[in-house]
Amino acid sequence: MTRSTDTSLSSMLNDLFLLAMILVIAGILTVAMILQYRGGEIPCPLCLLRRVAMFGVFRHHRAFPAWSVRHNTGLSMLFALFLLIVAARQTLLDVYPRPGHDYVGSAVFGLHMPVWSVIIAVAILIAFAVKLAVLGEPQDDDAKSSPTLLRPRRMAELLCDRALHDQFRFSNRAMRFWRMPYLRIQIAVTARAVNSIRHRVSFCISPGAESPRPDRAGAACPSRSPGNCPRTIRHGCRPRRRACGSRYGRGTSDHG
Amino acid sequence: MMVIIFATMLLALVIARSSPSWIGILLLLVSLALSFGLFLFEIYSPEYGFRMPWLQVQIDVAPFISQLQSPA
Repeated sequence: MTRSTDTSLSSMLNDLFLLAMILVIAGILTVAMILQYRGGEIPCPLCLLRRVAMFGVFRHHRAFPAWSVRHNTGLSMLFALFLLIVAARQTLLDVYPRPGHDYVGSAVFGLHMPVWSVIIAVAILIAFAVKLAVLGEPQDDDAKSSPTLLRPRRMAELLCDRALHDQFRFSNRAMRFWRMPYLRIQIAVTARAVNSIRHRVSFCISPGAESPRPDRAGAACPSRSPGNCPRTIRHGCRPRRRACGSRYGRGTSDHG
Repeated sequence: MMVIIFATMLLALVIARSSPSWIGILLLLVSLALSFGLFLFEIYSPEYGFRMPWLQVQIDVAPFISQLQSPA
């Protein structure tokens, strides 16, 4: 597989990763909006700061096609760190509330939103770390092209390339296996032994049978001359004469 | 202040689509800096913010330090 295909596949996986992350964060922000407008829970300033941080992570990468991908990754990690700091501080307020100002807010799956934000921030940082470890450093020229996810044909080509690469690698490995000299010698010796056994068995079954090749039957080989080769000589045919085919006209056989 | 932060972030998005990239990056960094400043204001403001003076950590630590400094 070429390096460009590798890069494109990495870019496609990068797009998939970012799409999944954007969907998750959009879902979280939607839940927060529903809690605000349906549940009547007015957000505090720290909640709004958490939303700012989530927007900073959320508007990563493809929202800014003119930017370098490395810049976007760094900025997203900065915003994720900011989200972690704000959420941790707000979780402290949740754990030990101000006297007379108990924390107001409904729990989602048993946890308040600041605690969820701590988990989300840690998950985002871990996801970025895993992405950089697995996919490597993103290329700058990926940012200038349109996202691979928006080009299904290109995506299919990349997947086919990957499959062909795997097949080629498998056949390459098989060829390397075949090229081992010891294995080749073994196969040649085995084939020779099988041939010898087959010949002996056929001789034992029909010992009087004439061998199709006279040299194998033990007879002295005749001296070679043009036209007496036992494999190519045609018995029972009339010898050819000049222009014998033309007696019956063009396009007919000369067998009468 | 919150309005300024959100407006800066929106401006960063709009400018990054058309102008050179460094302006968008700069505006996003400004937005991050403003957010951090607001966060510090919120957690250290004695009247309005989310300071936690009810965690009397210093009073607990002070006798311990004075015990360490005393010769007895």
